Amino acid sequence: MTLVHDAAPTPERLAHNIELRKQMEIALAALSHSERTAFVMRHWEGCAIEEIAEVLKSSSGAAKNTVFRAVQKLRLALQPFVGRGTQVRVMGTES
Amino acid sequence: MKHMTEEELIAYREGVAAQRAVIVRHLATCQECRAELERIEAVLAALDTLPVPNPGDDYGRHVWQQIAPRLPERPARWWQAWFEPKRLGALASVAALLVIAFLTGRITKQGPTGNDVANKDQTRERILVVAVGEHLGRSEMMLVELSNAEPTDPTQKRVNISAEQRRAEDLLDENRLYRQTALQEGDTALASVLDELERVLLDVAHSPEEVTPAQLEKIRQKIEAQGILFKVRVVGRELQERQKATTPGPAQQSPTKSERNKA
Repeated sequence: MTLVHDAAPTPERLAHNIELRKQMEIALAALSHSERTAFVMRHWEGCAIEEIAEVLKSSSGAAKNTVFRAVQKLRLALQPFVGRGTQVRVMGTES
Repeated sequence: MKHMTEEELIAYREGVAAQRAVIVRHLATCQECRAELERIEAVLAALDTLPVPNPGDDYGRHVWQQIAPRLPERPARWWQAWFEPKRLGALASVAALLVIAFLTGRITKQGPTGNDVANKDQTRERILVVAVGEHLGRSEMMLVELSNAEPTDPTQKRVNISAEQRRAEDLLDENRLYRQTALQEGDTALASVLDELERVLLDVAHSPEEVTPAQLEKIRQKIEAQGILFKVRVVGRELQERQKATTPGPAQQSPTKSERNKA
């Protein structure tokens, strides 16, 4: 007898993916205009920080901070839905 | 051991970390930071599954400013212009003009109908002449105002041209439609001037809202170099004469399209 691997996602997995997608859209919509612009340009378009700064009419440092704030907010909103290690560590601490 | 901050890890993940080598060395030895980076990765990887969202209105304008100087000067395909949502306003105004002209024709022309076909052609041309004449007048006014633009406050270094920009955007929509109509009517001379005007309008519409005196001077030089104001005035005057000539009344010969094209 041959075992056939079933590649189709389970109903639970499918439901989770739908929920995750919904949460991602909510999290992106919750970003400020400049955060969303910075994140989309950096993450999806692969733009340089200088280009983002030019669009946001800000310094490179400020543009970098905006990208960071966007990722931080997205992470806080989405980490519980992404699975493994749902706890966000308090960073920069000593162990 | 002091761990990396979230900011440092995100900067590392996004490829903008200042001390990349330090972070790489730390990650090689710190299990906890590696796990944290993986969690960041997991969120960003999940976001990758989404279709690329619109980054905002400023982005499109900025990209245009970057690529415009490198683009070959080739007009867009005429049919594309008709189907863009932005053009619908201009399309509606042209449609309204046609309806008005049709109704005016119905009311005022109750006489003999022997040369209906010739009259129809004449009416079509009259509509184009009147509409394009007005359009050129408005374009000329906008270009003159732009050429004379100065900072409202003398202490300010930048000049706000947002009002001219908005007008250029509106004029651009109309201009495309008139250019296509002129081409279809075989009026290549008019189409050519409208084509040149379109490029200038495009430049103005996609300039920053606030420009430095140097940028404004560049726009002025472009307008002057193409002699577009002069051309617009000449064609505008010609159209006025044509309008007078095509208005029903005493028979009068006017410059025909072919004569204008030759010129």
